[in-house]
Amino acid sequence: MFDPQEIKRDFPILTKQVHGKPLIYLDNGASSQKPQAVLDAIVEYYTRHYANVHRGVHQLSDESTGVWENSKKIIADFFGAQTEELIMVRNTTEALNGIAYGWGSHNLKAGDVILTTVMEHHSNFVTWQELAKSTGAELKVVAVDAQGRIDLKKMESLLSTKVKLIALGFVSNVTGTVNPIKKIVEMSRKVHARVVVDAAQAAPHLKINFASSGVDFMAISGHKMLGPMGAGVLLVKKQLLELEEMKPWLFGGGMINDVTIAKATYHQTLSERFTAGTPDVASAVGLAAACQYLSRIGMDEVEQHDRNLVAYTLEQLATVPEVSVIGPTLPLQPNQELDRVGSVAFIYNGVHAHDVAQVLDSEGIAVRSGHHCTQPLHDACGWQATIRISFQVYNTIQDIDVLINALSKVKKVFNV
Amino acid sequence: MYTEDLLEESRSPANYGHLSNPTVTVSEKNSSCGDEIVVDVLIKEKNNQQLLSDLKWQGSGCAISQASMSLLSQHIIGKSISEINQLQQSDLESFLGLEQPISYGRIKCLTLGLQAVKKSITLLSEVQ
Repeated sequence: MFDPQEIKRDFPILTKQVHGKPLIYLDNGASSQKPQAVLDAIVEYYTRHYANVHRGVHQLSDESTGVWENSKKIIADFFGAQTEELIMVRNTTEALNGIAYGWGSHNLKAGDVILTTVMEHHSNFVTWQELAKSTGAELKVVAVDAQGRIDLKKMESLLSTKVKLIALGFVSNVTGTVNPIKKIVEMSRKVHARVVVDAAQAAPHLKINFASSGVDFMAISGHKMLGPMGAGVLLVKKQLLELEEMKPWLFGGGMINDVTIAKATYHQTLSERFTAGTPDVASAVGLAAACQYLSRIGMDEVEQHDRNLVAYTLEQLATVPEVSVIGPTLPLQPNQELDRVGSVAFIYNGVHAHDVAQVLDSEGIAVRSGHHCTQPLHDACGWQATIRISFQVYNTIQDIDVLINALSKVKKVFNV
Repeated sequence: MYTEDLLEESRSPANYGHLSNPTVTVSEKNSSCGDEIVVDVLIKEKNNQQLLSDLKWQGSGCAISQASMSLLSQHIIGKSISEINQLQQSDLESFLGLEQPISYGRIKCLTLGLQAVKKSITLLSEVQ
């Protein structure tokens, strides 16, 4: 098992002091910090290999194209996908919107059903609301139980041949629930529905294998998994691209094969067809470096480390009487692993989430407070706002101890 | 930030409640945290000037939003609409006695009440 204290040294920002205290960064669900290897890779690209890609015959253009292609291969391999199945986008939100425009607008019609859940991030919710509005399809929303688990029976009861798309998160960004993607893919097969998985909160902690997952579309944000902002991943099953069930939604340079005044044909390389305009090569380079960094640690160990932090945090928060933890705290079956990774959100009874986060900030601790872009979930559960602690490879048990200690300051300041 | 005065203000806010005869009632929501403030205002005309003659408010939220609305309400009752319209974030910061400008993340908390009051004034001018 790796030593997170040693890992911390790879992240220059973690030596920073905040309000005179050592920074304890526990807002990784929003975005993670970057190791030196990622920063170096970006600087190296701009310093030594920079030019536009696929557009020149000169040396630098060739080098830059090589770096771009190689980065995409590293990223696709990391997620168990073929390079042709990888479309580089800015982030998860753009990936999900790409599915709505590139697939949804061509394949949905009035009377069809899009199935999603109440626990989704707004990016995986508003997108489908809008798609339903523009196509006349109906959006049906599956509830979650008190522990933050999807009501699978309800989901099954809503399945019919009218359901054309099932969109859900792999891991909830609030409850931390790991959703049973395999079971849902099996359910989708019975009605021939396509499955979209928002893996933004899963990719930083779990080994992803797109090929064996059976899902049709997967969306990932590089910046939450040690990569730079601006590099997001949309994975699309090759067959959907080959059969042109999924079509380009951005048009222009780079994505074409042949253009006449009358019409254009699109690039023969599948994923190039979806890269209109100059891509953000440097961010792809950074994300590839992040994938390599995580691979060196090993995603199995990354997952185990996260599970240890989640378990320890749940245990420690249970000792604070004012705290109510959100999401699963016990496994579904006693012999199973807890179906939760990445984060622990809670309510501090008697003090507003923003005020708790502000006091924690004064102790150098960064957490998220608010509704975390999940208003439907917060409304359904009757939470005004919650506080979320979320983890990365550089977080330690000591970080959690500092946080638990700081919660006593909240009690003192607000006299609860 | 959390001075005893600020905390006391948020725990026992001034002008909390409802007016029986408001000229207008508006609510304003902070979409980032679900905080909501509902403001009843009573406008009266005096010497050709529109005055905010009374105000009551209700809401739930963080200490900043509650204390800010409480202090704002004490400041604006009896003031003219045009004076109230000129109030800014910096005025709220000085009501709260903040030594530094509030952080970006708390601007919405600080200004929620003022936004509600200004919204009520806009609504009123649209009705008239």
